[in-house]
Amino acid sequence: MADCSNVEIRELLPERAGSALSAADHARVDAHLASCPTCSAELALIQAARRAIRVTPSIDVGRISAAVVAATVTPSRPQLVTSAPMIARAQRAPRMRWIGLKAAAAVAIAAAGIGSFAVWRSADDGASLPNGGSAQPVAAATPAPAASAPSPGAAGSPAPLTVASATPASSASAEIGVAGGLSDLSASDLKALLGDLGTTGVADDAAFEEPAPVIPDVGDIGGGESL
Amino acid sequence: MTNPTDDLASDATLLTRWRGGDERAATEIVERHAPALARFAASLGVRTDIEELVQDTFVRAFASLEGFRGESTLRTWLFTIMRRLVLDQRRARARRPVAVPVEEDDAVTEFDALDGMVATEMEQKVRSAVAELTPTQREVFTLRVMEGLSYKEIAEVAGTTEGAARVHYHNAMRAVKEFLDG
Repeated sequence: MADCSNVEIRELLPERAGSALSAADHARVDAHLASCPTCSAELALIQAARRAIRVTPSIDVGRISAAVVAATVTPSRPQLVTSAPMIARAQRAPRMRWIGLKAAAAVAIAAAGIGSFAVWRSADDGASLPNGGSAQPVAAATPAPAASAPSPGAAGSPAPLTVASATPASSASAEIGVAGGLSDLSASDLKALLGDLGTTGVADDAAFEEPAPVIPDVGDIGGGESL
Repeated sequence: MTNPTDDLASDATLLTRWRGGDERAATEIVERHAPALARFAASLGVRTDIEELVQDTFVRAFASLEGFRGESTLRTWLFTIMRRLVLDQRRARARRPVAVPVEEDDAVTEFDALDGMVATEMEQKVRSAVAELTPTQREVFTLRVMEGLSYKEIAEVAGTTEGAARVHYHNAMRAVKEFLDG
């Protein structure tokens, strides 16, 4: 079968077979076909091929559609809503923030404790030197060991009750040593000592129950009050 | 075959609806193009898992639909994606020790599987003739005759030039005629 020399018309035959031509081109091609058995035969071949190949392999379009829709996020529905990892992150965020608050509070408590102790120690050092006979600060700092575990040689030892390990040669320990242990204090002295403990604030547990935390990221929660 | 202009308008409308959050539009797009994609897969010699291939093509397409600028038709773009998937599958299969390469005979088998369909003697002969084409000729012939793609569109899908697509088509047509005359 020889090819027709009218290439322009031949190029339009597939579109003619698919009814995809404009009305003008359709009429032009049909006019040619009326006088060209070669192109008519080629058109018949193309139409036969279309019928022969148009057998679609068996597929479940509905299942494909469902799978595609399920796997696809539409633009108007942001991934924040449909993305499992992002949902997990969003759910984790408040918990992480609360953990952060707790950590900040713990740091604040520790800092307050250390700071208060340091302030007290410095106050103690400064006060004991000039006052000499005052043993209140030292006793306040170490009430339990001083009262419960006196050294075996406490009666004659000059420094059995103090925080001697921390300030081995301090005048404070010497003062305590001179003053003796808590057992040597009178009832009125102990009462005065306990009253003074209340004024320091260091041993006041209530003050540590709900401390205002130091929050690094204040913009996140606001209202944070540093110690 | 519907008018290509109508196809373009419909696809554009569906894409606009989908971008607006209408999931039903995605379903309509799938229903509209899935059969053509399945036929194209068969013409590429895909023998099994055509449904999965079609599904993968749509999933891939919708995942990158924001990058679709409409410079080609949606169907041409889908064909391009499918063709790339098929090539990737074949490359992956070729790297495996027990690979079963898809040769020309595979496509012949695919077309042979259609023998159970009712067809005229002419159609059966044409089917046999198409099965004898080279893979490239068969792909181009199918896209031109069946799907009505232009040479420019075929070139986009097949990753070749418009002129080469034209030559492949006319060589395929000549081969089919010779097969029928022989």
